[in-house]
Amino acid sequence: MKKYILIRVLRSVLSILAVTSIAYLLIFEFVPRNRVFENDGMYAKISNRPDQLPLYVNSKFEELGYLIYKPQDELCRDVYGANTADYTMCQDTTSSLFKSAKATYEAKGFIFYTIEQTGYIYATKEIPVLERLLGFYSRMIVIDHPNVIQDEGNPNLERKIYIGQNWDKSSYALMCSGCEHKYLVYLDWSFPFVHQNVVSLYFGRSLPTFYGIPTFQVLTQDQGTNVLKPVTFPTGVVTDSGVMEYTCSYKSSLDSLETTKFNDNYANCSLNRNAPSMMGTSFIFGILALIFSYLISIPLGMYMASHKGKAIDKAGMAYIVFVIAVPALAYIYLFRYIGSTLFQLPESFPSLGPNNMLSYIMPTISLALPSVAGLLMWTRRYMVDQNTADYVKFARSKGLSEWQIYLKHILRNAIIPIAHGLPGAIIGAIGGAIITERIYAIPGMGKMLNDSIRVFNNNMVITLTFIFTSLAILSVLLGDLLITRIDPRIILDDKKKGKRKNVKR
Amino acid sequence: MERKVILSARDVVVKFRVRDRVLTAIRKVSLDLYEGETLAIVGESGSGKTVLTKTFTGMLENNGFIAGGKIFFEDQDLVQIKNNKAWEKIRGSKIATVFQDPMSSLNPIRTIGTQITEVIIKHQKKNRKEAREIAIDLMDKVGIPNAADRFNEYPFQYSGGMRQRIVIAIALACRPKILICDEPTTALDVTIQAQILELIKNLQKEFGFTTIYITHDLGVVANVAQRVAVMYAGQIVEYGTSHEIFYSPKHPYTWALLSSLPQLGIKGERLYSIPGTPPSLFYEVKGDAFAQRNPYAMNIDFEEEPPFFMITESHFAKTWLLDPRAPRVECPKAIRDLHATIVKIYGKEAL
Ligand SMILES: Nc1ncnc2c1ncn2[C@@H]1O[C@H](COP(=O)(O)OP(=O)(O)OP(=O)(O)O)[C@@H](O)[C@H]1O
Ligand SMILES: [Mg+2]
Repeated sequence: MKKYILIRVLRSVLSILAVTSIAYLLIFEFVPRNRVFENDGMYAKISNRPDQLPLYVNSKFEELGYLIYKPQDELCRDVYGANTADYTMCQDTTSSLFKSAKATYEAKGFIFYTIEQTGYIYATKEIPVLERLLGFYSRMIVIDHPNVIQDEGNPNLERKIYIGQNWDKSSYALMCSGCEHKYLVYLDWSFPFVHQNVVSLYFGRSLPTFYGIPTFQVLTQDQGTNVLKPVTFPTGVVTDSGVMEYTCSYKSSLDSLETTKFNDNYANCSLNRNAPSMMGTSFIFGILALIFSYLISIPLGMYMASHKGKAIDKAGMAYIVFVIAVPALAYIYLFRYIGSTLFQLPESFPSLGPNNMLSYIMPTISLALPSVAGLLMWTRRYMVDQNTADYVKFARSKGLSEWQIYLKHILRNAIIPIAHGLPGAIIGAIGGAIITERIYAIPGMGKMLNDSIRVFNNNMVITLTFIFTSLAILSVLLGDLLITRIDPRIILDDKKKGKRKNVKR
Repeated sequence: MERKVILSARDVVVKFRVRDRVLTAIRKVSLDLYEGETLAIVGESGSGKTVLTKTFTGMLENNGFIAGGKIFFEDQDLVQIKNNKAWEKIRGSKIATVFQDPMSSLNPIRTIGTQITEVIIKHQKKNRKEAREIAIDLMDKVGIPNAADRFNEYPFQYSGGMRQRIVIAIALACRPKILICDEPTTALDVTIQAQILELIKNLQKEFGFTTIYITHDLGVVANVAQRVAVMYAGQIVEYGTSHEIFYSPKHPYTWALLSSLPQLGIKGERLYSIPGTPPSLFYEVKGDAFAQRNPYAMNIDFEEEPPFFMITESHFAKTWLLDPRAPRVECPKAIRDLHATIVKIYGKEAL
């Protein structure tokens, strides 16, 4: 059993890596790299300045990870060190010092270019896409430890892990000096109550939107406006502030205001905002839609089955056919129109904001609609089938009441296919989110994917691909494991190389 | 022999709505069931055996309804029962049913134990612990070895024969007065069949219930039943003691049915099968329903439905051949030799 689960988990991880790698290769090999500049104002401004354009373009490409870019002075600095006499002499491109630096780099595979107008020299080296992919994975999991911070300006930084208290001394936490984060493991009242900063994911930085912020952070940091409340800082200063102590990370130099509040270098803190992160927003909608669709379709499907052929059944079938036949985009717009004209519900999420319940109604309904149709059809058919199943007939002939038959026999057995269908529902909710979030302008991952594709925020697209794939694959795994818990006929057998063994019925 | 009638059906008519049409599956069937006996109901597929017994427990499908007649059981007319609540008091506790397929009669994802105890808890108002004891005792009685250990196992861990034993245990859990066995052994292999028959017989001796046994297998009938009713196209066409049905059957349909017994087939010869097909149940049948396929049919058979003719106190047949005006017809030779054949196959004790 354990071995089976292990193998399944490994296989799931492999699948996630495979999908992500394919996405990575496709994006970085086949999307022309120049398209990143399509929405770039800076690029437009200097596009008729041949002396500056190549420098800008190559520094961008380096940021995006396509190549290594060495402008003239960086070449010299790398070889001779900053602020040395050799470094200064090297700036003269006719000098022998520069020639030897050039030779070193040419040996490494760099190609040199000269800008005609100014005589400025720079070198670039393409990074093979497979190497970049490996680099991407090797940097993906970041583990925080006391030797992470290497700050020349702070040689006496203490390196230790210890147990300490938070600012208002209300709780204990596992803390660190020398790590990126000050708080490694801490408790608070938000789900899942125990939080950690030790292991984090890194998928590169977001460009050009959310410029320079790691993509994963873009997705997980709170959005909205700053919420202020009185905070007692480590130095004892009390002011209204939005700083969240547990997010604080290392900052090499503090400004004068910060030095009054902090007694160490961990002053780079996130602010407490009033709207959930993109990921949080998407999860809220996904879960609301999932609950909503099951809550509607299972009772309704049962009702339709027991009133087969009656008006309610026919109305339900008409709805199912409508939702299946009409493209999602069309009926989401239609429902939004109905919601806004008949019930005065907001047409877009930001108009009332995330803290107003009304904002959630129409998007949740839109997101749930397609899965309601599928589930409804399935429940109805299942119930009709079950009513003629032999064991249900036998249960009836035993004299059990209809209620008992429903609860103990039909519904219980329905959990198996429902559990199996759950992953599909989750995947459906993700897929639906991409459309729904765009239509309602919901600041979630689905909208982010749309936006990122439009502006060629490649790292973000890959990050989102990774997250969506992981969700889909893990939910399939979860569904399968769930079934083994419910259905006694499925035995996970260690001996048979972890294959699922279906005992003959 | 004066015996108490436990269930009595009078002129029962059952119809089904199929799309916009109505078919009549049971056409005025009357039947008396005596306390403690085993009555076998035989007949071709589609003759209405299952439908008839379903009316005794109110288990007709939603498109079916009883269009006429009465069914008396314990001072009430079962035909008048309309709601499920009232049926729940009868089903399982007074009239229980064992279906054909033990593989699918049990819920695959609930333990054997809970499926037995749920009826005991429901009908006998016992608590979980008492029910468990009764259930284990029952499992013992139906021949499950190590019953206590196997109480918490699931149906898939049981063989087909064992599962049918469990189904029987469930049916008998509340000591019903009547047990309806609808082809209980058809899905099982021959040796298991014999064991299950033996089991039902022994349990009947112990518990004293009345059995209705639906089967295609006349060998089974010879083995277990005291009385036999032969059904054709929604009617009982002949009934009597097993002895009478096997020794001196009177209805040409019974002759045909007996002649097609696989056990009577002679090696190398083609087994007799009844030519033609039964009449469509969608139309009213004129005359004798069997007339079209009956080699002994007379003109009257196509004109008028025959009444029941009494042969003995217990033996009745619904055929014009028994009318004093009809020509004397000798029954086929295979039938006359039937007794000897049965004794040869099943031994002296049979019949
Ligand atoms: N729910 C139903 N709807 C329509 N017709 C039905 C229904 N149930 C039974 N019938 C019809 O009633 C007739 C009698 O069926 P029944 O099942 O009683 O036959 P049977 O004698 O038990 O046959 P078998 O030996 O095959 O079990 C058949 O013609 C069948 O088609
Ligand atoms: Mg039948």
